[in-house]
Formats: sequence, structure tokens, C-alpha cells
Amino acid sequence: MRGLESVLVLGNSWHSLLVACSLKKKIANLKVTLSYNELKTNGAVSVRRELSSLLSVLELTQESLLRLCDGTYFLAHHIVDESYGREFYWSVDDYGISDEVQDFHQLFERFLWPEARYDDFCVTAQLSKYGKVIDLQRHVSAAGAQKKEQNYSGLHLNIIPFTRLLLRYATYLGITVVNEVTAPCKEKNEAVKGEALDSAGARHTADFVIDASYIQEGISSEPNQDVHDWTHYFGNQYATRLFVANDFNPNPTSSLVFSSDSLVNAIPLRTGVAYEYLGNKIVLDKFLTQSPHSAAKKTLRQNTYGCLCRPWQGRKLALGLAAARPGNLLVSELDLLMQELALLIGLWPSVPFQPSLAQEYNRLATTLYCSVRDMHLLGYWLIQGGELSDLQSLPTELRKEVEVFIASSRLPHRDERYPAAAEWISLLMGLKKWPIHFPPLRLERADNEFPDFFQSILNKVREIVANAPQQVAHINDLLRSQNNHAER
Amino acid sequence: MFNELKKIIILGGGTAGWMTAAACAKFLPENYQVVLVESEQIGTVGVGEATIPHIRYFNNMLGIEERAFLSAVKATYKLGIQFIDWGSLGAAYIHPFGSHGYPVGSIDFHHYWLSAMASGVAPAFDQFSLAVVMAEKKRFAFPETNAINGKNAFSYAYHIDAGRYAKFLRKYAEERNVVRIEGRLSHVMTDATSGAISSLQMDSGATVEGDFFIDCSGFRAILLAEKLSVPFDDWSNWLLCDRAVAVPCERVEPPKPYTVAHAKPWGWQWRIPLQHRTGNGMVYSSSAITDEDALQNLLTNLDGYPLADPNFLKFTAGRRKKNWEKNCIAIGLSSGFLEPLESTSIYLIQQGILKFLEYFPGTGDLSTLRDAYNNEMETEYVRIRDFLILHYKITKRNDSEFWRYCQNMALPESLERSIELFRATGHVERYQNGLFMSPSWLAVYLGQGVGKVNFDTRVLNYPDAFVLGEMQKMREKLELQVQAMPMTNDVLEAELSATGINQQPVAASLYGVV
Ligand SMILES: Cc1cc2nc3c(=O)[nH]c(=O)nc-3n(C[C@H](O)[C@H](O)[C@H](O)COP(=O)(O)OP(=O)(O)OC[C@H]3O[C@@H](n4cnc5c(N)ncnc54)[C@H](O)[C@@H]3O)c2cc1C
Repeated sequence: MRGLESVLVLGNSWHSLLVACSLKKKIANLKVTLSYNELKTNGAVSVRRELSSLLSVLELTQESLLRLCDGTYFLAHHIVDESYGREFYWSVDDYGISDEVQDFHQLFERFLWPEARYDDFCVTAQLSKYGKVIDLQRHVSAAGAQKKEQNYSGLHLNIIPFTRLLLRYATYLGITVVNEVTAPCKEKNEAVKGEALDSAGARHTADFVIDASYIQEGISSEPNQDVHDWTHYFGNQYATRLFVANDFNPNPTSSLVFSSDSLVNAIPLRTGVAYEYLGNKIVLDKFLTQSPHSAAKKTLRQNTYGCLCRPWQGRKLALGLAAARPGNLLVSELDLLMQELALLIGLWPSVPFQPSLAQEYNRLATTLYCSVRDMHLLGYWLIQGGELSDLQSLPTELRKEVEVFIASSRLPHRDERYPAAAEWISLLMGLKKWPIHFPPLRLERADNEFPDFFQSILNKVREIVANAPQQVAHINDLLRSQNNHAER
Repeated sequence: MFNELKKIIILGGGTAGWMTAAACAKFLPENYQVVLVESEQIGTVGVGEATIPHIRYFNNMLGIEERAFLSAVKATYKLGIQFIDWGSLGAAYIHPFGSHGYPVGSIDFHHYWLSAMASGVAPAFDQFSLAVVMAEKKRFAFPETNAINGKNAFSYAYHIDAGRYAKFLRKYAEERNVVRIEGRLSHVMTDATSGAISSLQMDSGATVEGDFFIDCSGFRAILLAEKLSVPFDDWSNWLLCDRAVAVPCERVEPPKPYTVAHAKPWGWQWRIPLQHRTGNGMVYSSSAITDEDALQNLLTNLDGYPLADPNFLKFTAGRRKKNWEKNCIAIGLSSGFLEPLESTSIYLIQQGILKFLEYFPGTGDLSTLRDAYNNEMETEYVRIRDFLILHYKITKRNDSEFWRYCQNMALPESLERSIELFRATGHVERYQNGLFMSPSWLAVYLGQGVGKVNFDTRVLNYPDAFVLGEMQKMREKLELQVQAMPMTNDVLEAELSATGINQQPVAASLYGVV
């Protein structure tokens, strides 16, 4: 048995660059070759939950990454449901706090339903609402504020500078970037390195091949590869992207706007807004013909959703969009890719490859993909009215989870749940799918003490928000001070 | 929205019954009535003395103060379980409430250990666990919440007098309005249309009506099995032991801060030190040894004079296929039984109670909650089952038919996969729900030995001298930390005579408090 000496990463976008850089950083003495043929895309990529891991790979501070990639802070999604007239700020952070036997959402349901807004109790949701950003210099510990040592916010990054940054970094790390590989890895004896030919006819060898290609339409079904097809669960099968350049948006909050027939994800960057439209073909065609931005037309694509049943086979592994498309609006591609990388690095192979390792990876990765898919389907279902009669159309596990939540105010256990259960609950609560029953457990406080309890949380949240700087001003200050620093 | 369920009947006053009653008394609103029915004549199973750290979480939820508890139940501290003669005759290891070593370069410690073992130079794996070194040196300190010096990487539990614990909780529950009815159940009445239980008819002629029934009646599972006919999933082809005999004896030395599980040719023997006695028992397969021989063997292996007559118990490993059926939940021995090798029964009682409160039933169709409850309990049971089977499977012992069978038995598919993964890669199969996580699986895999195990070859990037140096440093640090700790018995005695409240942080975890 020997250590893996070399990896060939295939790809055409930031995904493969990030995979190559992460592996080079995390695995000592690994030779990483990147077969790269850039697919020019614009738009934004967001990172929220896995920002710390990303920063540690890049060895950058949050501010530097923001500055280098035309970024903005990402605190919460503003989810707007035009059909049902609802809107809600959805954050990964805690909503309220509870020292009782019941969780905050249960107390909320018990005492504040239906008048109060759930997102009033979350610091980052409120900061987002008012276009503010947490003052990163000050450590805030407040009810509903962020957990210790966690990044106080995520980032929205412009794909073009982000890709450029990664490419530069890859070279800096000593990753060999080669032309597009056309004939990847002929299978030989597993203990011997595989061979690949690039488009210029050069020969490359590697122990392991990782396909991290950006596949626009969704995962491909290669020979010998079984696919779980989830397309039928997702109504919005057509998509297009658009970048509208403008001045720095005065209210830099990303929004997800759902209407009866389409969905618009708007991500503010410093130089403009990146839009992603999803809908059926008729709606998007209509939109494109009416759009003053003709560039959008070129990128209309049909999405498929699903995942490979066995992303890891022998010496080949698929990551990112090459392995799964479980939806990307509520869990970003970058967050998911960092999760997959953590999984891979945790189960780093040796040569010869052990089938049980690939089996374990595949078990965990496909469970993770199902969880992310279910989070998206939950969001779509909620947005489409969250009717119980429509539950039948959801995957069984998700349907049961929703039923259990409605009947008990609690989500049942699920292994590899991503994102965390609290985020699922805040989405349900924020979009007003409140439980109809919750355990009526006895609380330490008397009922008449609860108004003060809730008020004290609200006061803390408001105080933090009141003292926080506006995001636009904060970023401008940051850039100015860094420019001054650079000039000096 | 509140529901109309108002009267909860608990059948049985053993550990399960009174734990359930205490939790209901604490957490159900005052307008709920909780009634517990038990028969002194029938009595309780009378064993169940070793616990795991989750009991502290349960006590804390009830607001039970540790010092009061220690003296009421004659408890001693427990840092893990020592397994003697399991992997092979003459070998021993401790499965601690804690982890082993720490990752270097983000690679888990055990991969370094495996690579050192492959070169034949590693001290025993359990020597890298703070809890093990403490246990072996009979020293004790409360875990800390601060992660800096590693003193948060362990937890502790207790050895308790189970009878006293039930009494303690009975007092707690009765003070909080739980009504106890003494008497023997004769009939269970059900609703003709729904089949749900409507009342219990007592020998005395009294009728106890209720909305929801909790079956804590012990092995018989009078409500769930006998009345509602929920079948049993028999696991005795994997867990052969089906009998136990228990005899307490005088304690002859200061209590050790760990349980002892000593493997025998027909099963194993436990030794559990309490303040006032030592609990002993022999768990065995009736096809491997007779009751008389098992008792004889136990009596010859006691540390001190026996203090009571032997208590013989019969059981079958397995669980009820559903723990919740109609308006009845089984908690405790009525819900299933896994031998006490890893002290998991009280934990399972606790899970049954907490999930009951979390999924507290309202009126109307309960099938959704029922399915969720049953699924989660099944996961708990199955994952513990696999972990217990592991102890029997990975052994070199072939000194008896019993061990030869265990070595060669076919495994549940889930366990087969886990062992294969570990052998081939050194990775422990990952899951988030269930009791035993990676540190426990490693303790048993590497404590008993599982044959040749591959490891993460990234550790080969570090020179042997560096790895051995790091391991040496870890060992020295642990030794120093433990040397500075007081003797377990001194801590216990100080706690028993101290006044005021000792509020230790708790967590629903085996491995630490944060
Ligand atoms: C050998 C052995 C060792 C064990 N060791 C441990 C250990 O170390 N750690 C651990 O956590 N667990 C251990 N356990 C498990 C532990 O003993 C039980 O989980 C615990 O005692 C709970 O039992 P119970 O309350 O469910 O049942 P029981 O103690 O049997 O109680 C049953 C109750 O039901 C009542 N009852 C029954 N029938 C009737 C009737 N007809 N009318 C009225 N009342 C009735 C009885 O009076 C009694 O009150 C061990 C078990 C065994 C067998």
C-alpha cells in the first residue's frame, strides 16, 4: 500500500480550480495536475456556511477575498413570495435563544404566533434587512447572534475575479495546469498510474482522476454510471443568467423572488447584480424576448437535476456539478463543493484503491446530495403554498419530515443532514408552515414572564443592528483603507 | 394549540417506570394527571447499576442536584468499562468515556497509531485516552469545558444502586403529584373500535382509566406485547447470552472508577463498585453453561462475602418491532433488551422518555408521530446492537464452542460493512444519530484487535521519529495531567460531605461536555 502521489483534476471553471487548490493545500506532497479549459461564465457565487474552510484554503481574510472578488457580505437571503404575499429573511444563524426545555421556535409558536415575525429574532436576518453588516471588529454575543469562532457573514463573489484569483493561486501553489484532457486515464492495473492525453497530444499520468467539470445542464449519464434522476421533482427546468452592471447597490441584500411561474435569484456584487432566472420554457422565452439585455438569450439552458449513484468508481471521482445537481439556490454550489471536499479529504485513498472506501464515500455523498435536494424541494413546496395535499409529490423522506414537523414541531433525525436542522426549521417557520401541534411541556417561566423574555431578545437584536454600519459604507471604507494601505 | 390528552398511565415501577414518571411530573403541565401502577409483590428486575454519561443529562433536566443524587443512590464515579479477556485470553483494554489522542495535520490520531503498530512500536491504544489513564490510576477530576488542555475530552457517569435510584425518583415524582397505585394488574381493556387501550383492571377490582399508556412492565411487556401483540425481533443468533445471575458482595477495596466486564468461556462477568457494596453478575448462554455452574463460577470470583441470594434472570436479545403502538409506548425492558455489556439500558429508557416528550401525542391521527418515534428508536437499538455484536465477533478466543460460534457467525449487513471498511481503510463508518460514535468503535476495534488494518497513508509523509515523538509527548502530557488529579475515592468522599451545589456541565454525549 502506498500513498496517492498524483491527481489529475478535470474541469473548466472555478469548481475544478478550487478542488485542485484545496487538494494541493491539504494533502502534503501531492502532485496536482489540472486540465483546464475555461468556460467563460459570469455571475456570482456565494459562500456562507463553509466560508472558514474556503478562507483557510486560500489563506485569505474575509476582507481580502471580498476586495479581490468584487464581493459583498452575505448575511441572509431575502425570500419573497409574490404569489402569497410573504417575505422573510433566511439566515444560517440562530433565531432567538431558549433556556427552556423547548426550542425557541416552539416558544415562538406557543406565545407569539401569528402576530410576530420570526426573522425579527435573528441578528443577521435583521442586519440584512437594513442593508447593514456586522461590525467584524467587535465581538458580539447576543441572543440570536452568531456562534463563537464562526464567520459572522458569508460572501457573494463575482465569478470572473474569483476564477482568476484561483487560477493565479493554483500556479502559485505549484499546480501544473495543462490543456484540456481529451482521453482521460486509460485503465491499467490499479497500482500503476493511469494515463491521459491532452488536446495537444501530451501524455499525463496520475493515480487518481477527479472530474470537477462545470456541466451547465446537469449531471451526465456516462456509460457504466447510474444516475438518480430528480428532474421530475423540480418544476423550474429552464434557467438563464444575467449580469447587470450598475453602481454599488444601496441595499446589498440577496433576494430570491418567487412568483407563480418563475424564480429570480438576485445577488448583489459591488459592480452590479447577478441574476439567475428559473422557470418553464414559455415563461423564460417570454422574459428573454422582452429583456433589454440580449446577452441573456445565449445562456438559456435546460436543467436536469439528480446525482450519480456512484460518484467514486475505481480511480475516478466526480465532484461538484459533475456529480450532482441537487439545486443551488438555498445551498450554494460552493458550500456543497467544500462539503464534498471535506468528505473526500477525510476518506483520502491510498493505492491500490479500496472499494469499501469508495463505497463509504458514495454512501455519504449521495445521502448529502439527497439532503440538499430535499432542502430545495422544501423551499419550493413552501413557496408554492405549502399545501399538505401537494406533499405527495415530494420524496418520501422529506414528506415524512414535513408531516412530523407539522405534527410535533420537530424534525426527525436524518444522517448527513445539510444544512443543519435549525436552518430547515427557520425556513419552515419563516415561510409560515407552523406546526399545528407541539408538545405542551411545562416551562420554567410562568406564561406572563414570556413577553419580557421575548422583548429582551428583540432589544438585544435591535441594539446590535442599530450600532452596525451600513454595508455599502462599510465596504467603501474597507476598500479605501486598503487602497491607502497599498499606496503607502 | 393544546391537545386533549390528559391522563397518562404508567404500568410498572422499576427504573423505567419511575424515570418516566419523574420526567412526566417535571415536564407535563399541571392539568395532566400521571398515574403509576406497580406491584410490590411482583417486584422489579433488581439489577441495572452501570450507567453512561447521559444519565447526568437526564438528572440535570429534572433539576436533580448531583450531591444529593450521589448520596441517595450510593453512587461511585465511572470513567469507562474495562474489558478483560475479550480480544484474547490475558488481554485487557478500557473503553473510556472519551476520545484517544488528537489529530495531527488534520489526520485522526488512530491512523498514526496504526502506522506505528505496523512497525511494532506503539503503546496500547487506550493509553492515549485521558479517561483511561485516570481510570487506571484511580484518579478523578471533573471534566472542563475549556478545550485548551484536552480536559474536556472525557466525561463520566456513575455506578448506582438501581433500587435506590427508583426510590429516589419515586419520591421526586410523588412530590410532584404523580399518583401511585399499588396492586396487580389482571386485565387490560381496549376500545372495541380502535383497539386502543382504555383501562387497566386491577386484582382489587379497581379500574384505572387513561388516555395514554406507558408500558414499563418489564420483560413481559404486558401492554405492548401481550395485549397489543407487537411482535419481537429476536437477535439472539448474534447475541447468544440469554441468562444472568446477580449477587452483590462486600466491597473490599476503594471503588474503581470503571466497570469490569470479564469474558468467560460462556459469556462474561460484571463487577460494579458502589459505595456500600460491589454488584456482580454472570451473563451467559444457557446452551454453554448451566445455571448452577454459572452461579458457582460467579461465587468463586467474588471479591468479598455475598450479601444477598442470587437473582437469576432470563432474557432474549432483541426488541419489539414497534415501541409505540396505538395509544401505548413501551419503555424499558418491555421495549427490548440488549445485554448490559455497554450499560445501555438506562440510556435507552432515557431516549424512550425524551422522544416521548418530543413527540408528545396530541389527539387525532398519531401515525406520523408514531412512525417517527419508532424509526428513531429502531435506529438507536440497531446501532447499539451492532456495537455489542462487535465485541463478540472480533476475538481470537477459540477456547469454547461459544467463542468459536461468535468468531464465525454471520453478521448483520450493517456491521459487516463497518468492519470491512475499518479493516480496509482504518476509517470508522460515519453516522450522526446513535449512541456510539467513532471513539467507541475505535476503542473496541483497536482494544480487541481486528486483524490487519490499513490506514490513511498520508501519515507516511511524517517521519517515524516525528510520529513517535508526538505520541510520546501525548503520553507524557496525560501522565502529568493525571498525576495532578486527586484519587477518585477522595473526590467522592469530599463530594459526599460537601454542602452547596456542584453544578457540573452536562452534555448528551459519551465523550465530553462540550
Ligand atoms: C442482568 C441484567 C443486568 C443489567 N445491567 C444493567 C446495567 O448495568 N445498566 C443499565 O443501564 N441497565 C442494566 N440492565 C437493565 C436494567 O435493569 C433495566 O433496564 C431497568 O432495570 C429497567 O427495568 P424496567 O423498569 O423496565 O423493568 P422492571 O424492573 O422489571 O420493572 C417492572 C415493573 O412492572 C411491574 N409489573 C409487572 N407486572 C405487573 C402487573 N401484572 N401488575 C402490576 N405491576 C406489574 C413490576 O412490579 C415492576 O414495578 C440490566 C438488566 C439485566 C437483566
